[in-house]
Amino acid sequence: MLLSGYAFRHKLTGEGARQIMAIHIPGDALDFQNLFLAESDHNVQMLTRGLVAEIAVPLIQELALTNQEVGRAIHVSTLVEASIFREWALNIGRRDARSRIAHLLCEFAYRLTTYGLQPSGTYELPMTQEQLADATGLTAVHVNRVLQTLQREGLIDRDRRMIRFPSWERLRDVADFNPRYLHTREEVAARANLS
Amino acid sequence: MDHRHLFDPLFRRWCRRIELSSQDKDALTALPWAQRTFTRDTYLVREGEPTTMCSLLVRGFAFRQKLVEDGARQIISFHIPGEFLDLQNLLLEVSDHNVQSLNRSSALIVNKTALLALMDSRPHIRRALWLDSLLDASVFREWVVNLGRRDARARIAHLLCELAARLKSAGVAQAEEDLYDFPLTQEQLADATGLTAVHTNRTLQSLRRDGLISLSSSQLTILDWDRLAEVGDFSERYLHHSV
Repeated sequence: MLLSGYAFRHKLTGEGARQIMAIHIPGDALDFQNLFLAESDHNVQMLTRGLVAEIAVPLIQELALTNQEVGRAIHVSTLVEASIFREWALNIGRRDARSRIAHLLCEFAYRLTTYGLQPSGTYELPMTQEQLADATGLTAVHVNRVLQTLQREGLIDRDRRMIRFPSWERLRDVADFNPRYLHTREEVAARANLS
Repeated sequence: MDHRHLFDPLFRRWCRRIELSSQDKDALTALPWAQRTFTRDTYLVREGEPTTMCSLLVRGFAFRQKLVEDGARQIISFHIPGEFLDLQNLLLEVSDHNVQSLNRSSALIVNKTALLALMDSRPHIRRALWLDSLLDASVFREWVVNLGRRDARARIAHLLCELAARLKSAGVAQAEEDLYDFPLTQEQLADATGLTAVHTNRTLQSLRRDGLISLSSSQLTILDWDRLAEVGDFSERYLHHSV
């Protein structure tokens, strides 16, 4: 469980190219996905300095299967994560570069604000352009160009690692972002049960 | 009508991974399932609708898809008999994607409250259903990699390997000849790999020309598994067949 800082999931292809498939914020579980699997099929890495709480798999399995409330909360959290993977497949498979990056930024900001981690308006974006590229299936050069375009259009405003969204509605339109897939109601309830 | 035998592919799959008692199996089959048949492209689940049912595919193929605002479609998984199509809907209130029948198919459908109640009272069933959702999620992750970081040839080869490996594992392929049911259109293949239909067609032709596959009237033959897996950068690990 990520208590502070940011982390991400990724996989490498045979050639060593990296694909990031999730960005994690404080309060996210990092490997409930492995709860009933014998071996891990991907990597989880810290994005920044952070604090992680660990628990042995058999203990959490036991809890998940015997305690109904905790079990459901963990179960919901794994299902919401899977929904985010699906949305990322859509993002990478069928949106252009500009929408992909905008979508990633919308998701990140929306989740931080929903879980009360950062006030809406200004966000710390702990990712390098290379990491943004690996999360969107683009090259770092392409990401750089898109960020400049978004900045020129007044959709984002960057100052070092801080990023602001002067026109959230327009950014959301560009991103084709609809938060339905984040299942916020269910996840808020699950988090309340787990904390 | 006795539909118990329709659960066989599901139980075969589960019992390789989880110890289910005969009471567990009886309790699951005793739920008020209704069998429904679907024609090609029929929607089983629609994005944005409240979730009320869960469906287990028992015949034919189905797929999940999402649309972007301008209507472009991304297929996010294919399903074969013995797999649930919408397990996440057990605990999520609104469907976040569509499920469609790929060819003529048949599914057993049950009210989700009945399945939830069973899951709450039987830990082995909970574990089995949950494990299935985790396996789905692992496939979604691999597809993100496939779309984001493999070229067209590798993407298509990877998808063919995955379907073949899953059909073989489910025991529904003629494995000795590496011959598989393959009812996908080139457009569906394109939507599953983030390519255009033209690009997909060209890529399939090159895989054929190189002697890796042959494809005719809904049947796929894998002529050189090792080379196809190499082209597709395919490793079975994410399918967790040995869990």
